[in-house]
Amino acid sequence: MSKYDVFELVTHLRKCPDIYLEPSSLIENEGLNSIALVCDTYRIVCNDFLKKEFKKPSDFNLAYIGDNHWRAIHISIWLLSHRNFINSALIEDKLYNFWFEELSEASLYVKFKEWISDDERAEEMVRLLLDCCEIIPDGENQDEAADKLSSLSSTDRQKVLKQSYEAHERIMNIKREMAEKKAREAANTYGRE
Amino acid sequence: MDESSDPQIALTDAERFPLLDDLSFLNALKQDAYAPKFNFKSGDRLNALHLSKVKSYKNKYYDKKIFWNEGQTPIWLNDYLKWCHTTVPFYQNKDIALDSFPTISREDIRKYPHLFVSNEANLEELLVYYTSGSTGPKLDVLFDAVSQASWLPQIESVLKDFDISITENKNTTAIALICAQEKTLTYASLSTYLEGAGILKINLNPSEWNQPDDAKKYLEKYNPQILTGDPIAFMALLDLKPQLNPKALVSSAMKLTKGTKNKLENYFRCPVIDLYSMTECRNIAYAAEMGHKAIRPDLYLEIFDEHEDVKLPYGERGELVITGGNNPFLPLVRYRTGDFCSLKIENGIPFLVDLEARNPVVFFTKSNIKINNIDISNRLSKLSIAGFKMHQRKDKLIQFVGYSNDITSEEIIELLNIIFKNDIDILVDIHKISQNNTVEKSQYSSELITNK
Repeated sequence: MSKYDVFELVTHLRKCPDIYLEPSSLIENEGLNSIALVCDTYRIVCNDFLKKEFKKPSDFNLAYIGDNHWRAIHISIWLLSHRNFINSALIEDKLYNFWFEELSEASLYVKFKEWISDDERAEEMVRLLLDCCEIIPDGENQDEAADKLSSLSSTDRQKVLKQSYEAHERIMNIKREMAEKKAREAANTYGRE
Repeated sequence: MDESSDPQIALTDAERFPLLDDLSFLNALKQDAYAPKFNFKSGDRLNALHLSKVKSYKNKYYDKKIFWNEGQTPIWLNDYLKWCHTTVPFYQNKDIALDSFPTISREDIRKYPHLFVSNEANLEELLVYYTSGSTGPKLDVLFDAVSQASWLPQIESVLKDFDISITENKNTTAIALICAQEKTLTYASLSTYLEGAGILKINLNPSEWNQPDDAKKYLEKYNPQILTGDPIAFMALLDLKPQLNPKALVSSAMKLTKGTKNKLENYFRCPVIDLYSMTECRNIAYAAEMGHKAIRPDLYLEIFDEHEDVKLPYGERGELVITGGNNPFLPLVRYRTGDFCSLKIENGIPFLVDLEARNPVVFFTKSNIKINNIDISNRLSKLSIAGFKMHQRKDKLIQFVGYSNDITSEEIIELLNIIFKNDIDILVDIHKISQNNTVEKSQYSSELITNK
């Protein structure tokens, strides 16, 4: 069984050739044939080059995938070309979730080039893929892996920022209401305190 | 506590009393020939949902026989802590278990009132009072109409111990809060919870009335069922010799001495209840033989060391610390009250033994024998004295200022000399109680080091 070394995978990811950064043919006519790339990756992963049926979004849903998300998928296809993932049939049915759920959400907050240019984002993509494929990185246990992914997760960070923003808004609203209500009649007092 | 002193935006009667259509009794109270020059308007603000919450609060707690037993905690506590931890910003970084919660103080609430508001609290229902600061810096107290009106079922549960109930009727005055101050907000109002019964807040200060006898005549005419106020206001009322038949007097905010209590009970021929309450959570306990009997099953009481976050066992004296309440704008977890007592559980009901307001102060005789302020309070409580301040200077001289219409300076000097074993210099000043006093809460202070 392969040892999934995060550092090695990040190094591989960061060597992603420029061709993978091209847009999808579903967005631009001259772009990459994303569906073919996805299907080829499925074949490499399960080591069955005659297989024709793969889990992918319906044509209707494919139309809703944005440019930034497609390019992130292309980059991840380069990551999946690492020898660790070749002939790893167990992860085949995990890739749909990775490409079309997790990477979709992360792409809302990460520009596609950052997956390569930014150390932390590269590690985030590696860890996100391993997590989706239920693979524990070499030298780590499940909790450590989860903690490290959580500390890098753009989605989690965004959630924290959103919560923090909402908490701040709430406090500002309370302060506003306090000032306003202080000037108003309150309610009956029945005894001394 | 007094209301915000300068509210500038008035409400409509529909906002004051969303559920009351008939305001004729309110108009009678306001327009009576003997009525004072009311300077404010107020309502209980209860809509149907609020009223149902107040009633359900009563149903939940009114007949509660066992609050908790020694060695146990109330059953609601874990859920309450979880709720605070999840929804109250101030508590969100704290551990969820009570034992890990540090105590909090009045200063925390004063500095960060907004952080104590639960995320579940509806800001449209926010009401604000600020305290006059008689026992410290001013404090914004946030609350809602439900927690405010819950005062009524809390007091009903106390009155039940005396076989007294408040008649709920739109042609009766249920409660009159009596003040005898230079200035305070005064109003006539109604209680939706008490089926439209009248609520009065009046100031005996003669300048607030058209004729000198009007205060007496007005009170006699509407004969409130329950009189509330502090001992000084009650003694000022007594001076008017009104012919009233209250069911009970509820005294709070200041220490009620046995002497004053007896005097009031003899005159009004009804129980005078010494209530322990505070702005931050309202009613807590009332004085009974064994100590102050806890009123509210929704408040968990603990005793802590004054200086360190160390919980003390039952029976040991320390600072009273409170957790609980029904105010979503100020949920308390381990709130230091600044008051001192020991805790005793009797048949599932907590009693605060030897409750003394604020920090204990140790006095010294001239030859350095320590005298605890509790001993002084116990002795003074036999006198008919409505309030007092006692201070020891660096040169050990005792300065005593008292408020009474009965006691002389000589009596106080004699009593203090007994306590201080005739080994002290004393200056006593007794002020007569009038209808407009500017008195702060009773308190002890000292310029000497008082390590107990």
